[in-house]
Amino acid sequence: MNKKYVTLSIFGLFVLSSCRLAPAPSSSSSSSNDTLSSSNGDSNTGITEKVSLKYWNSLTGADGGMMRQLVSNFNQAHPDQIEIIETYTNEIDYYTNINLLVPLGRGPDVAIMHSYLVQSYANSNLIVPIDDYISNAAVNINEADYISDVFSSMYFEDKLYGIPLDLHSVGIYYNVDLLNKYNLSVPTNRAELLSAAKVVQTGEKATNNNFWGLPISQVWPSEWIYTTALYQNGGSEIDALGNPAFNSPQGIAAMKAVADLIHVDKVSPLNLSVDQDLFLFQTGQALFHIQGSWMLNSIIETELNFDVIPLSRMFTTTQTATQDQVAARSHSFVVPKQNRAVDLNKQRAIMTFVKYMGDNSSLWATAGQIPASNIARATPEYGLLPYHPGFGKVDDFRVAAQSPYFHQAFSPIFSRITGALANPNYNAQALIDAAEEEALQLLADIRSQ
Amino acid sequence: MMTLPRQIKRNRFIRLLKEHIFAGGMLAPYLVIFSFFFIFPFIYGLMISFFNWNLFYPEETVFVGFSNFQTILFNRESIFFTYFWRGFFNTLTFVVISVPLLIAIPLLFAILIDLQPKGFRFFRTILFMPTVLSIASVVLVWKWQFYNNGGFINALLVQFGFEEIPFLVSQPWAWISVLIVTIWWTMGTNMVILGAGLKNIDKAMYEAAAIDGASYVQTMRHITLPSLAPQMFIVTITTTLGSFGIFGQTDLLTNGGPDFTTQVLMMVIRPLAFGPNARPGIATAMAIMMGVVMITLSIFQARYIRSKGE
Repeated sequence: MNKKYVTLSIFGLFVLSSCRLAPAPSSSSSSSNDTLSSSNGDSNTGITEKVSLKYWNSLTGADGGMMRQLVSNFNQAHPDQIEIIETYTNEIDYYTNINLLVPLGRGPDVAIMHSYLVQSYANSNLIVPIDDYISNAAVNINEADYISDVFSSMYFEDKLYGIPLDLHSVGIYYNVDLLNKYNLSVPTNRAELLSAAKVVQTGEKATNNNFWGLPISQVWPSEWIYTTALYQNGGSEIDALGNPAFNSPQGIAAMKAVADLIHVDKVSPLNLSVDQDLFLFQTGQALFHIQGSWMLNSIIETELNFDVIPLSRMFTTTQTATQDQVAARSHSFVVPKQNRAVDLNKQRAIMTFVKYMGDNSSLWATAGQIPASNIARATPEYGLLPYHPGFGKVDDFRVAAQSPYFHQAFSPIFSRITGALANPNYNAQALIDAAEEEALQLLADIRSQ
Repeated sequence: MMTLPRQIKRNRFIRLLKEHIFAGGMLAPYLVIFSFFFIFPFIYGLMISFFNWNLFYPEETVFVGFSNFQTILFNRESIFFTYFWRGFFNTLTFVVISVPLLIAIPLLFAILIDLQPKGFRFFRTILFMPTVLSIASVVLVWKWQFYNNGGFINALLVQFGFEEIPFLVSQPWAWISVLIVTIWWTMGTNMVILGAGLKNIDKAMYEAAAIDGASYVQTMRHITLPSLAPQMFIVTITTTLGSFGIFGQTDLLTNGGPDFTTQVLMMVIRPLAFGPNARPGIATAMAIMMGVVMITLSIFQARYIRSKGE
């Protein structure tokens, strides 16, 4: 008797878990093939039966809501053909999940990946080339429809591994009322920026000792600011061989240009932790604030009268060919490796989804991102967004140099930037030497694998 | 035909089996879970440490013997040597400074509460309450106290004309901050354990000591502390092991800074085990070395405390 109950219980649990694991049947999937084929008649997707796609991303912040909305719009636009099942986790867990589950064949059908990691994951064969997917697709994915610099960064060993969704960068948010109060014009270079910051800081400190012209957190987004400063001073993260290239006069000038804001120009206090600079700006206690475009909505919510200017020319005082460049990264669509062959329907569904998301990314742009799709940026909806032009010209955005070992070669500098910002007596050369040594050791290890 | 002694032995075995079957049945679920979540991962981890483990392509995993241990312990050219020894030294620093305080302060509070002053139940509850909080909540609360430029403590200091203290970004303040948070968060458990021990001490011994003219310090030294030996044993071992496992406080409060001085070993191991540049073989070798140190230290501690207690 007991045995019977145990067997029944196990069977019950199995049935329940099967129901839980199986994708929820939609109205179309329960319909006949005739219905499906009729739905394809007016479609340009080339899909012959309904496809469910697992879509993973790490968009859990203020921009996550917009992504959910965009996915929902896609599902509503393709009710009989494609169903997107979205899963999102924070960035650290996200890449851990990719690393652990994709090799087991339990990864998603399509995923978002940061552009600077695409080559690394391509080199690890965790994502697959998508040239065939594009040629098999019924939708037209054309390189000319995307920002060329970011699209080019999706290639690894002459194969295409991703389609960019957006560009996100950092800009200088400024308090319009304060600038007007002191009859100052919007700065266009470093000298004007520092001058305005000092004038307003001096004026406002008379009533608020905690007011700062350009407060900088020593932790974040200092890696973005340093990378931008490196570009503007004519430097690069890595050389053609993928070795660190920041140990150079340009690398030192870049570190100095960032740290001087605190230690020399004194427009920022020492020892600001993550988001304390943001808090100062949001509460009207800062004139300028360097922050990512992805934080746009959190600043809009404060109802502050603000605008955005690009970081171009803010970290160099000499004219260089790259003085306007600003560091940018891209959220890109990639196709993780599967254990089984991906059929034509699924390939077409993936590309239909990628194309739709790119073309309709003006909605995604409301979260602060800049669409990588020229089509999306040409829409009236995008043209109406007031702050986006402030982050800079598309041609001035520069994505990370390409190497499968980019992270190993460049990331050791980030903690040294924090060190320079924290210590008024920092030794730039010693910090950069230490970062380079660590980078070379990491590269030696990874290359010996 | 079975001989008599053999039959006696067999009956005795069956009797013992019957006697223990109930206990065995009760223990079985725990043993299964313990094996599943501890024994198996431990053996699996031990195995990984002997391989150049490829997370992406298991078929490319290569047996390397003690190479991972050799790398982290002796290979000065390797970045993992630097990571391991820096993390280990920082962890050891924390253990050395935290364990005495994490025992002494709860003991002090336990003694005060044991005196049962007015409102002692209220204070016992208040002192125990942080223990139930998650580390994320604890750090969130304390970060706002420690911040420069607007943090509560620094705002008070500035208000009274003092300089700000860079609690989270400069040494030794970063360690002091981590220590304060750890004591505040964890002392409740030790306080309760030691408090229970104090309650069990025969009050007649205190009366005898008082009649003999012993001072409070002498009473403490010769009666209270030796009587607390069993509790001290538990508290010392668990606190030391807990301090070795420090992660949340430094990860969330100082992020390993300033200049990697609070980057403890667990902060090194975690990204190496699972991060984008994962090296599971190296990570498990580090974890096993840490485990070896913890076990060795615990054995010595146990022997020492037992010898003192006897």
